[in-house]
Amino acid sequence: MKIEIKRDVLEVLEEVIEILRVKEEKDVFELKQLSNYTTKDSLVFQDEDSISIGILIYALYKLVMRCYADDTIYKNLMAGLMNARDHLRKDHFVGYRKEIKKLFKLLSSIDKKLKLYVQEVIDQAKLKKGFKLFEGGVSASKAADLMGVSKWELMSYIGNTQVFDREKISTDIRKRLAFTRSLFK
Amino acid sequence: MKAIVFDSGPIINLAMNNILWLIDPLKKQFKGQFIIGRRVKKELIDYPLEKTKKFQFEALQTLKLVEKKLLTVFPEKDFDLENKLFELFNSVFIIKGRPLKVVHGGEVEAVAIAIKTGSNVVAIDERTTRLILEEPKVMARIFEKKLHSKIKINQKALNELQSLTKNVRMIRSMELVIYAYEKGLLDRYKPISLKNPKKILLHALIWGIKLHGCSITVKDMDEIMKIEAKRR
Repeated sequence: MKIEIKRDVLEVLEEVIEILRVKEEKDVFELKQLSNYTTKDSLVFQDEDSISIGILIYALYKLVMRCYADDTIYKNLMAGLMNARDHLRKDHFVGYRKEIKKLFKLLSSIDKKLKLYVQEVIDQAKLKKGFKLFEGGVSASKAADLMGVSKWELMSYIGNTQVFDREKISTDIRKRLAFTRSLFK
Repeated sequence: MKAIVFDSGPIINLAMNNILWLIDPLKKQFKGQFIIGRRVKKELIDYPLEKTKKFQFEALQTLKLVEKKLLTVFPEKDFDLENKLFELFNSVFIIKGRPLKVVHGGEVEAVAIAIKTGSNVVAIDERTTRLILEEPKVMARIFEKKLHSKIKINQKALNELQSLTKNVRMIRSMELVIYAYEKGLLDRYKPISLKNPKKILLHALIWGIKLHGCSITVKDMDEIMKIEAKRR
């Protein structure tokens, strides 16, 4: 793991530990902000660690928002996050990645009834993060590839946002149509 | 060679709108080849069939087009140009001394095939690839806004890229569908029981295309409605 990535991931871990230390209403808002912050690293570095921490934080945000995390879960999450942080501090990258995987498993095992839902949250997190990368300028294919989602899925997600209208990039539609017609002559 | 090289986006868009069958009449009218590269085939067909349960049926419909030779998979042997383009595309924008990797092999492959075959036409819905070639400063502005950091353009890489791709023109699924609409290929969907059936059909079509990821603004869609109203 590169030094700059390690520094940023550590910062994210410290932040999420701080947020979850005490269960409060503002956790949702703070997790959302942190999730947005992780997108920047995913876009710039495009490495496994920046991407996985981004997906994890987004999934946490969604689960906390929907009140699926009780005190015990908070406690277990905190333990896992602190372990991940400690591994990373000591440059134990294998250990760190194992902890992150365990955290994903922990999320999935929150409740058997919720298992499918949690998986959906994780899948949605990948899509959302894929969209965020796209919104930031990465192509849809590249974003789908980085997030491990299908381009079929990501295209529909993108289409249902207002990303192109927000960017206000107009094309000379008359010229483009004329060119297309000329191809078929 | 007279050909249109397709990136995955326009095929996905047609399939999701249940109008993938348009490829057949469009190809007949075009009187040339419709080509996809191997990476694009992977995105369109192999990935959904092998890695996910979603979109398998759409992938099968696309595979059928390949089997019927309506879409030709380009038999790639020489990757030099593709590799060169890939390197250039992904080194145009620099953030904190680091090149931003922004495009995927699939789009680059489509551009490379268009150059190699001399067709020079790529059907692509991706705004990133299009903007890098047509309006790199706008693309840099998008990165800056998102990353809150200064983006430097590597002018040498951009010049070389623009020189290699100077003859390449891009169309979107939107233009293809509008052409099909103008030629009456979509008349079967005209709602004859409603007032202004042609207008309603066009409105439904362009929204369907936008909602499945074609990079177009509502402003441009309004422009299309006006252009086509004048043609009627």
